[in-house]
Order: sequence, then C-alpha cells, then structure tokens
Amino acid sequence: MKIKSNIFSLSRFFKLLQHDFNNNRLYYLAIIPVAMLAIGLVHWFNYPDAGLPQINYSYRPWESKRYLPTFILGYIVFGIIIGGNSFPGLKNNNSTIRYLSLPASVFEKFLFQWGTRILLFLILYPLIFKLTVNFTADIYLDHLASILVSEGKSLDLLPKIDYLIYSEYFGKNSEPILLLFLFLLMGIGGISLMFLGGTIFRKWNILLGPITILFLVFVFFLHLVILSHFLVPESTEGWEINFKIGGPEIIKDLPLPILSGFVFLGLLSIVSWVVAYLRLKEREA
Amino acid sequence: MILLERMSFAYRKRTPLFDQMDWEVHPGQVIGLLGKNGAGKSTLLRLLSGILKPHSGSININGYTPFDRSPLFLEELILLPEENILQERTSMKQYAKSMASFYPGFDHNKLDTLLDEFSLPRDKKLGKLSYGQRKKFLIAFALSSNCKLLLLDEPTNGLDIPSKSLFRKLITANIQEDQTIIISTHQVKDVENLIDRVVMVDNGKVIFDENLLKISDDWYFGFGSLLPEDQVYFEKGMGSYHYIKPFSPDLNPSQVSLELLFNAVTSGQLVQPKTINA
Repeated sequence: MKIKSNIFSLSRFFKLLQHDFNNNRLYYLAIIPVAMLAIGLVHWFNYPDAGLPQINYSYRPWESKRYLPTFILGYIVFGIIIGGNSFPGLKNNNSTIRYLSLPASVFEKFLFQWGTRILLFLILYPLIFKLTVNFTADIYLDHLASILVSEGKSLDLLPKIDYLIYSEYFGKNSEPILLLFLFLLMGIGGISLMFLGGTIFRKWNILLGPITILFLVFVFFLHLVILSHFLVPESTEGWEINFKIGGPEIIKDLPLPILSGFVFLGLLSIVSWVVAYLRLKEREA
Repeated sequence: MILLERMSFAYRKRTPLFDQMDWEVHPGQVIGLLGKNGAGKSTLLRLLSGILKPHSGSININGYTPFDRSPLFLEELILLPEENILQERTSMKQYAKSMASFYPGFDHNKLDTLLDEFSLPRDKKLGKLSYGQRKKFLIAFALSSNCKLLLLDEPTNGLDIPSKSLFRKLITANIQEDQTIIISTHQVKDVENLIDRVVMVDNGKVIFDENLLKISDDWYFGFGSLLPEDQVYFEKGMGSYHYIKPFSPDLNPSQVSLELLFNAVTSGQLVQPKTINA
C-alpha cells in the first residue's frame, strides 16, 4: 500500500504546479515576453547611434561591462514585480481561505513559492537578460547595416557592440569577485525580503515591500554615517562616510567587513525564508 | 469523528467567542448548525477546517488537528464559505480541472450530473455568474468531491426558491454513509427535512444539540386556535397559535418546526435538559 506523506509528495507538488499555472496562466505566459521586450527596448535606445537615421560615428564602443547598470535596474524592477507577487493566494481574505484549504502541505506551498519566486528568478533572470541583450544587439546591428548599405556606406562604420559575457565581470583580482558576490548576496537578500513581504503586506507588497527595503537600506546607511562620525570625526561632515573598508583578513584576501557582509546578507535571506514559512504555517483567515 | 475538548477562541481585541466548548460529532450525520447572525457559526466552521486556530483546548477530526492543515486531512474536507472564494477569470471547467485532482474521491460524472441539475453553463467564467449560480457550482463541486466532511456555510444564501428545494433534494440524494455534512444557516426553514441533528449556537456556546428523532419523541409541534396549558413556547399567527409542548403517548408524532424550535431555544423558553456546554 502506498503511504502518502504529510509533508511532501511529488504528485501533490505537481498538482500544485498545475493548479497555480491554471490560475495564473496569463501572468506566467506574459512575464517572460514582457521582460524580454522591456529589456530589448531599453537597450535598443541605449546602444550607440540609436538616433537614426543620422548616424553619429563619434560613439563610445559598447563593451560587455556597460550592461551592468541595466542588469541591476532590470533585476530591481522584475524582482519587485516577481518577488512582490509572492504568495498571491494570501492577497485577500477570500483567496486566503481558498489557498489555506487547498490540500497541499505548508511545506509544498512554501517550496512552490520559493522555487518560482526566488530560485527560478535567480536562474532565469541572468539567462533571459543575456539572451535578450545579445539578440537585441544582433538585430540592432543588422538594422544599422541595412541603413549603411542603403546609404552606400561601408559596413566598417558599424559601431562596436559587445555581447554580454558574464565571465568578463570577474576580474583577476579577488577583490572585484568578492564585491560581486557581495552584490549577488544583496540581490538575493532583496528578493528574499520581497518574498517575505508577500506574507506580511499581502496585495500591498509590491508597493510596501520596496519601501520597507529602502527604509532598511537607509537605516544601514545611517548606521555607517554615524560610525564614520565616531571613527573619523575630523574628516566626516553631514551625510559623508569616510572610514575605509579594509581591516584584518580572516581568510586570505577576505577582509573582515566583506566577510561580515556575506554573513549578514546570507543570514538575512535564510531568516526571510524561515519567517515566510512560519508565517504561512500560522496564517489564519 | 469530530471532537472538541474545552476549545476556546477569540478574535483579536474582542471578547471570547467560544469558551471551553465541548462537542462531539459521529460520522454519517447531516447537522444543521443554527444560530443568529454573529453567533459564531462561520467561525466554528473555520476552526473545524483549520483556517483558524483555537486559543486553547483541542479540535480533533478523524485523528487530525485541523490547524496542522495536513494535506491528508484537507483532501477529505471541503469548506464552502459564505464569501465568494472563486476566481473571477476561471471557468467552471478550468476550476474543476485544477481543483478536482486534489480530492482522491472526486467524481467528475457526478459533477456533470449536478451541474445539469442546477442548469449551470460550464464554459462561462465564474466572474460572470450570479452569486446564486456560484453557490450552486460550489455545492455541486463539494458534493462531487466525496469528501468525508463537508462544511457548508450559509449554502442557501442567494439561492432562489426552486434552487433551495433542489439543494435539499441533491444533498439527500448524494450523501454517503460515512460522510458528515455540517450546514450552517440562519435561514432555518431551508434545512428542514434535510438534517438529522440540530445544533444551535449562541454567544459562542452550544445551547442545543439533539437528533431530530429525539426531538420529535420529546416534543410536540402543534397548531390550533387554542393554546394547550402545557405548552412551553408559542407564536401567535393569523388567529391561531403555533406551539411546542411535551410529547405524550396520546399524541401522534409531529413534524419538527425548526423555526419554532429555534425561536423557543434562543428565547430561553425551551431548555434542553442536558446542556452540552454549560
């Protein structure tokens, strides 16, 4: 006789997936094309010589590293949209009753949300971003080439637009890698807080989640400013932060402040997930 | 089996709604949970379904604690709340497709039959249905699930008169031996001829809990121009009286008037000898 688990069953998880897709079909089908379109359009208008048909040849080549600002901006925007929509079943009282009485375990419901809102987002966003910008670059260059050909000009005049290659972001020194990991953990921490916000702010999460994160960032910044006033009062004025982040290396090439940043952000994410699970478990309607 | 032991519950910043409540329900009954508005009927159903957590005491249903929300417990329970919990953009077909798989005993043929009985259009979006039609759909879904426990909160609200009698007919026709149905309502007439046990709640307490057969064995529900001396409760109608008096062997058994019984109990004029939750 097959014994069903109280905590996790693959068949129930699959049913949950089907159920969620049936109820949010439009959202799932639209989010990736909309994201690709938005990313593509932003780059189309930012690549060199976008002011067609007068091509300005005094351009700055578009190197792989120039994708970073839009990558971060896109992460924040889509992170807010996707993370902000965590636990859609808890949006209002009626949907909460429906969601809580759905025959799946709390762990399955949590895992599904965690998987689609955090894990899948962290995997898919960089892939979709890369695919979109590189594809946009190809179309864009083809478009410019057709203009040059129509004007009888040499294709040598085409601007240089590099593909996005993530490995180029990792320098040879360990410090940029560490900072990059710190940024990565910040990103995970941010989306994790938005995920947790889904269990607290419900339908207002998309608005109140980012405000809360901004507030937390402000509190952290304020903490550094105050520290700066205490540590180097002679060179700190107003909102400046003037003390250097260096300090003892705990492991080779890993300064203590960066290590503590890793620990803090790592814990922030894990605590957000655990609290989200517990809030879902204790949710009433 | 449902077992409540010294169960207490209060909404935040409000006076306790249930205080040390004891209650027992054996499988295979259709229970009418009656009470005035705000008596705690819906809250009790939510506590039984694990949507709310008791502050103290315990609730045990077939070995499960509802608030643990075990999937094995939830797949044998359907809660039909009074509010509209259906998603507007989904059709009945899509709803049934995505929800039915969670209930192991779900019978699609039964759903088809019941939807036909209620004359419901399958492809219409749930948001386009009237309140009554949504209720009918949820009733049909609940009956088709073959769950062991059906908790129906005000199921006849929004139903027209033919649908109310159809509801009674369909419940009677589709109930299984091991199924327990708890129907909460303040429209007591709607569940007449349907339930086999009456439970009345008031101020968070069970003030009356009895089988209908026992009620008709103990009480006589009469109607006449003269009031009998031994009546315990009466209501004056158009030149006549509806009354309740103790049953005696010289009388023929009468049809229980739930409305009269409800009014008699809630007004304190008919007190059950053995109080369930004193």
